[in-house]
Parts: sequence; structure tokens; C-alpha cells
Amino acid sequence: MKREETERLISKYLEGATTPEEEARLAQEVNQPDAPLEWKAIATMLGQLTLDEATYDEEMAHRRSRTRWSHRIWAIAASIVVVAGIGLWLYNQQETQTNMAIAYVDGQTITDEDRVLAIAEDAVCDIFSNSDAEESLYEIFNPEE
Amino acid sequence: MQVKFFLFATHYSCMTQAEFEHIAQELRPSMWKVGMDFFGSADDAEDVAQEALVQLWEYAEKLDATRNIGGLAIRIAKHCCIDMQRKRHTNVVELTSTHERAMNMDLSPHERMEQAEASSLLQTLIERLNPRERELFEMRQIEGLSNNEIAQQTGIPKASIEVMVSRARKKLFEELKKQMKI
Repeated sequence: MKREETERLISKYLEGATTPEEEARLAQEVNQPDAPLEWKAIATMLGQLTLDEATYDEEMAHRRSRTRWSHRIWAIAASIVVVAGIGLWLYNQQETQTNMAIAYVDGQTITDEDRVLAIAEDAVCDIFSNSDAEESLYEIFNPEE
Repeated sequence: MQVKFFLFATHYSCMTQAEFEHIAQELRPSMWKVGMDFFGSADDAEDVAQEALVQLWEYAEKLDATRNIGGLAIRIAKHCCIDMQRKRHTNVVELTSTHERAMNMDLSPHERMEQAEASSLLQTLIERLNPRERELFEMRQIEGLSNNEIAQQTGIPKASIEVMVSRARKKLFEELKKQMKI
């Protein structure tokens, strides 16, 4: 707290207008060993209960802040691990997809492997159904003995 | 450093020991928790609760039996924690340097004596205030009540409380400065 702010609070204190919360803040400022003598008089008037309560509350607030920061750091670290794990899994998934089946039928792209194989088989059957290609291939590879 | 309570008892009936013991049973757990939160040790929390109850009784026996002393009990418990830590002069509880300064751990014996003398002087000056000013000053200083809370408990208008508290504080401040040669 700046010196002017402390002086303003002291004036307000002497006017009887400070709240208990403001007196707690004032207690933290005027209770420093290097405080001016007038401030030490105010510290005496605030009383040991107010001074010690302010010290206690500030210490507990400081400890809670330390704990919050510690939790925040762990949460960030855990998030990084999760994101990295998902990324690694996705990369592995992509790597296993090396063999793809694609067919183009009547302007349509078909990537379903089973359908593509079925279409290929039908196409081959069509080729050989109305021709003597099959017979010719048989004669080539099975000459008359 | 034990806080000395010099509350000026006025016209109401003061709390009896039996009444206090009944209230103390209800207040003890919260005072114990204050110590436990600070020290993290059940033994230390027990010491805090014990010492705080002794100090609370010193104050309560001068109070109106109907007064709610729950808030005061917590203040006294917090004071006992800091006082115990101050007496130990150890770093078992880690504190920032700001708090170590606030605990006056680095004060010389002379400075500590000056502080004690100033407190004693203030008590003498408080006794010279008129009864109402003294009562209101102590309700603010010891019980930590706001002007609103005092108005509710005493029936005195808040604006009047502010004026009387201001008068008391200014008188004490001027006298303190004179005596401390500030």
C-alpha cells in the first residue's frame, strides 16, 4: 500500500469511519518495524487483537494462494499429457491406414473396401461372361495333350 | 504477550461462569480449528483452544450475558496462534518476510519493551475516557465489531457511534503522541 493510502486510512480511522476490513489492512501497514512513530501510535490503538488477526489472515491467504498455484501447474501438466496422448494415438491410427481401396463408378468415389472388392469382382465377371477370353486363356495354359 | 482486557462493565448483568462454560463448549471446536489450520498439529491446536478460552473468559466475565462472543473467540484464537509462534521464534511454519516483520520477530528487547509500555500507557488513557466512549472504543478495538453491528447491539444510531468513536480515538491519539513525544 502506498504511503498516501495509509495516511488516508489513518485519517478515516480517526474519524471513526473505517470498517473492520479497512482496519485489518491498516494494521498490516502500521505494524511494520520501520513504520513512522505516528503510525506506531495508531498500531498501539488498533490493539494486539486486530494486529495479530491481520497477520494470521494474511498468512493463511498467502498459503492458500501457494496451494492454488500448485494445483494450477499440475492441471496444466495433466492437460498437456492428455493432448499429447490423443495426438500420438491419432498419428498411430493414420500410420496403420496404408492400404486403401478406392473405386470410381459412374462418377462416384467409393472407398468402402468390401464394396470396392465386390465391384471389382463383378467387373471381372462381366468381362469374361460374353467373350471367349476365358476359353482362350484355358487353351493357352492347358494345351491339348 | 497476553492481551489484557479492561472492559468497563456498565448497567447490564455480567456473564456467569456457568453461562460461559456452556458457551465455551460450543466455541471450542471453532477455536481449535483456527489453531489446526495454522499449525497443522492437533497438540498445538489444543494449546491454542485452551489459551484462547482462558483469555476469552477474562473478557466475557465483564460482558453482558446476552452478548454474542463468537466473533471475539475467533479473534482471540488467531491472536494466540501468532503469539505462540512469536514466542517460539522458529521457522516450523513457513512465513514470508513480511509476516516475520509483522510478528516483530526481529525486534530488539528494547523495542519490545517500548511496545509493551505503549500498550500499558494506552490502557491508562482508555480508563480516562467517559464510559460511553470507552465502551464503544473497546467494542471496536477488542471485539472488532463494525459501527453497524454496534448500532444493532446497543440501539445507538450509527452516526452517533461514529462521532463518539472518533472523539475517543482522537483523544487517545493526541495523548499517545504527547506521552511518546512524537
